[in-house]
Amino acid sequence: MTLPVPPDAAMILQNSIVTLRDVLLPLTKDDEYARFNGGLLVGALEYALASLEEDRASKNRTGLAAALEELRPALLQADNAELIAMIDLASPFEAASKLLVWGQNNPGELANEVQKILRAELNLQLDTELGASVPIMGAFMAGMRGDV
Amino acid sequence: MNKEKRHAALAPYLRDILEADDSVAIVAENRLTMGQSRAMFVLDLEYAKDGAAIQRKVVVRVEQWGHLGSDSENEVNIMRALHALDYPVAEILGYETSSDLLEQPFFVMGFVPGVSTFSEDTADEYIAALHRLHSIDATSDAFDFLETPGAPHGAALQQVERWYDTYRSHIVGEPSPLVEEATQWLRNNAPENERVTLVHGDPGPGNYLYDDGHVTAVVDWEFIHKGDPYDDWAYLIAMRGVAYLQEDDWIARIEKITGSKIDRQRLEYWKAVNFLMGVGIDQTSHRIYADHQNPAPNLLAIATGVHLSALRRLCNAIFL
Repeated sequence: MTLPVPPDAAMILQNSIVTLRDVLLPLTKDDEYARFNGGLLVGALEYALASLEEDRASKNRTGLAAALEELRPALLQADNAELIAMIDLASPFEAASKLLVWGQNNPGELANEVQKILRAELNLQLDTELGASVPIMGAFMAGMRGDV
Repeated sequence: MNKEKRHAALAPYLRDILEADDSVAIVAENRLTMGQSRAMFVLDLEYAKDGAAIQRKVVVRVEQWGHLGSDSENEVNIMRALHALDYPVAEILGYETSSDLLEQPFFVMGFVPGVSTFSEDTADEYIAALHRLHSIDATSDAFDFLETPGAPHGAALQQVERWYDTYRSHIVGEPSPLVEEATQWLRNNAPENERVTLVHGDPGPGNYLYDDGHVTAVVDWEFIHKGDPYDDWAYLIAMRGVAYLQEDDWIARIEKITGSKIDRQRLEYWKAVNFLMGVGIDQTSHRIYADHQNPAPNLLAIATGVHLSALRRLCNAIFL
């Protein structure tokens, strides 16, 4: 083995961003489509870099599973076999989907509780994902404005 | 496909559809940054026809593996039908339904001069053009290729199910519970049909061209359908037009030009449908990017930030 400690992915991405931004992007000044793509690639690499720092997919799954567990006593108390079967689905995203759709079709106290707990977690996750997308969205929106 | 291959495939095709005497020379190509559902190329051509030398521009609009959930068929059909009615659309010069030449279906249209950046000076004329579209007899045989939504809630439910199906069929990984819940709310609260008209489906600044202060073409017809004209007004106000004029300003202009009062509750419902549309069509980017059908980074932007922004607006519209 000649490389006991290979360069890590985050370092490669970070250095690629710098090279792309400082060396390659200036070469695209006469080509709007190339500039647009160059800016997007910088944003894409920054998005990927942030994904390496935190496993948001696992965090989202765990967070939603916890929210579903928080709901379990209320569903057990309602003694509704259909709802209890939903909460035990393997995928927390499938379970939450079914429960929220049920809530839309069965308004009432239990639906309110389902909506309150699940929406709080899901909205938090949505805001986090929106925040993570800022680097690539910035480049995209600049392109849409013709500002590249 | 690189430029050389593209030009080699296009030149004989262009010769045929333009009925050139001999070969068609593609002397310049400009790929447009705007427009995400299709690759758009403006070509400068030189050829001879009946012995006369011709220089002209054409636009080639190439599908992108179903990106944003549409194909060219309805788009070409509506542009042909509207061109025959002297509506401001580009002329269709050729439509290639196979993927043999450019790896995807495409069509060629005449170049229409104009720019698409927002201009307040042309907003009223554009609204009038949209109103004119809504006033065309949608029951005419010329529009038989479009499905007519049934009563009583078909106009709304047809669109809700279309965008939900688009979303579901392009999921990567797991479904979003927020999308599922919002869709159910839209089903449960669908308004009854009022008028059923032609609906552009993606109207507003960026999707019309103007030149010398006048609208020269309404573009991007891929989402044409028969439905509720509020679908278009909501899209204009809340999607394409939101960055340029205040909602009340748009509404005042629409009311003045159409002579009809806008029903705010109906408008709010259709805004939410359009946010679901955004969620659904943006999801196609994720699938196409994940499947390596198209590695372009704009797909990643649409799959993440654009998609999530639409979902945030959908949730705010319904649940706040």
